[in-house]
Amino acid sequence: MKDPDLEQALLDVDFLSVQSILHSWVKDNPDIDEILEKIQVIMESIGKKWENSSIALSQVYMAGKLVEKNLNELFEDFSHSIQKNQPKSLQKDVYTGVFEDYHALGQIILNSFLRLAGYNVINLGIGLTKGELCEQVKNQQISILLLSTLMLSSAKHLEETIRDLRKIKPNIVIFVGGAPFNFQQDLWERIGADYYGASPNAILPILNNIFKQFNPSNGHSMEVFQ
Amino acid sequence: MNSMERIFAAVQWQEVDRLPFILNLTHHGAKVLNLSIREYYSKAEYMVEGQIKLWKKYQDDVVIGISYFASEFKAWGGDVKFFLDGPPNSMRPNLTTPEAIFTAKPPQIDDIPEFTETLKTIRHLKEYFGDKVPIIGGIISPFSFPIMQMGFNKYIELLYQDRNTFNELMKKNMEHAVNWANRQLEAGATMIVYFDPMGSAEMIPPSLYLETGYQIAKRTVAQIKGPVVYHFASSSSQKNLPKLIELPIKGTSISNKDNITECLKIMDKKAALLGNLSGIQLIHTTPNQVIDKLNKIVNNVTPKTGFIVSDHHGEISYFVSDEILTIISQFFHKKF
Repeated sequence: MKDPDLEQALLDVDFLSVQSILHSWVKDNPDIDEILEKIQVIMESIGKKWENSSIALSQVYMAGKLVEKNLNELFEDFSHSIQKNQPKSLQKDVYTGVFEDYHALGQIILNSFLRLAGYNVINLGIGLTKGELCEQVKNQQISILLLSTLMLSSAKHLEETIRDLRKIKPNIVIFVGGAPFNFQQDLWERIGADYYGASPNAILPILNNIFKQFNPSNGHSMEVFQ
Repeated sequence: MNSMERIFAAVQWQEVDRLPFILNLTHHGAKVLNLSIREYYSKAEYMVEGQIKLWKKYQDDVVIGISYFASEFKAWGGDVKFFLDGPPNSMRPNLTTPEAIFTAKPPQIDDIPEFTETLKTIRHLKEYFGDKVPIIGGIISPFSFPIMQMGFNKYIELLYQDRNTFNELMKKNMEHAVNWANRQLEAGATMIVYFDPMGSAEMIPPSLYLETGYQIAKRTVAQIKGPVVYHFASSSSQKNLPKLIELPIKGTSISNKDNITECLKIMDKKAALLGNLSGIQLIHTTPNQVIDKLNKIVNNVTPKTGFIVSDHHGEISYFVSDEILTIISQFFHKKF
């Protein structure tokens, strides 16, 4: 069940109400995992409202921002707190970046939703070039890469980049997102990405499935991607 | 009817010989001149020659007098990245703190080469086309410009949290926008396109737009000494239209997500609509699909005026082929 009070406070960008509600939750039950579960339901509902155009992008961004700000105050870097309690094999590491562009709002919103869903988000930065991405993939254990871009020309340039990244790491899973992909629904396939998500709500179930499938507790390992 | 007569008849909902169409061919000028996009925008001579060539080739109802949009960001001290196959884009934001905003100064138009080349372009196009073809000028709205200046996320936070700094930034951006628009009009631009994607209900709630971006638009448009067309740069405008028609504008864009029939009804003959082809969708489309799409648009426009068929972004993608552009042109020159 979602909590309508917190959701409404978030959509109203009501700083004080959000703070008061989250502080009272923690006072009642300081278990971060249970609080995150409740928050995920609300964030999913906000994501759905964004998808059906009943709320604006600024509300989605501020919702993630406000929840993270308060959780970080309450739990001292909540995302890090969750990850440090997990064995490395169970950590859900995902890498995100903005390709050839300096407009990062989409990535910032996605990072926020991912952290609130328990993912360990490693931000590769903005304005990434093909060369920089190839270096990162060579030097880091990147299995899941989520790239966003704003300009159509950059989206097109991703095709060659993805091809090169797969030469370095054939099993890398690549998600793409951003305005050009929203306007042309098959563009992600044309450039050779594995997945496309118009919103965090579209991306999270796919990611959850990937991690469920390759969770070591199911007898599999993320190492198949390495 | 020549293009000037057709466009102005359409915006006044008077009878037209055919619906006007605008291809928004900006950096396509580089393609027809076999230049890089960076070279194309470096000299007025290139932009003039490119626009004339494009107009002769496709015969759409305007020519574009402005340079690339990120040139405004460059004029305020920002860095711009050029591409071989797409519009130049603004790089890292440069007004990221309240201190930077309070000390920033609007650029002097005559000190900025991109601006002086743009004014020269407009003057030469005016000499060439006279009053037969409208010359499009344009500005980034004071309300949307901070997306480049501050970064989208920081700007959203400013809107919700710090109206004092927001007002300071708007004061400076408005001073620049009005000045830049009026200089283009003095040089011979027929109309100014006011690009304001931040105002779309996709970006901020309509209530927030009405107390911020709408007020800025009202004050800015009132000071621009010529016709103004509102543009949401491919974002939806349908929810904004009821209030927009109260502004002294000649038209506004609609996106491919908006409903033409409903939007025309809201306009109530007060201003024209522009749209709603998606340039991105035109890249991987077949000639028959383009014709179907154009037929659908035209069939939705009743009576046959008050509408200008156009790419909804305000700048058609470099990847849209000559074949598709030619088909669009032929569609309007041979039928309806």
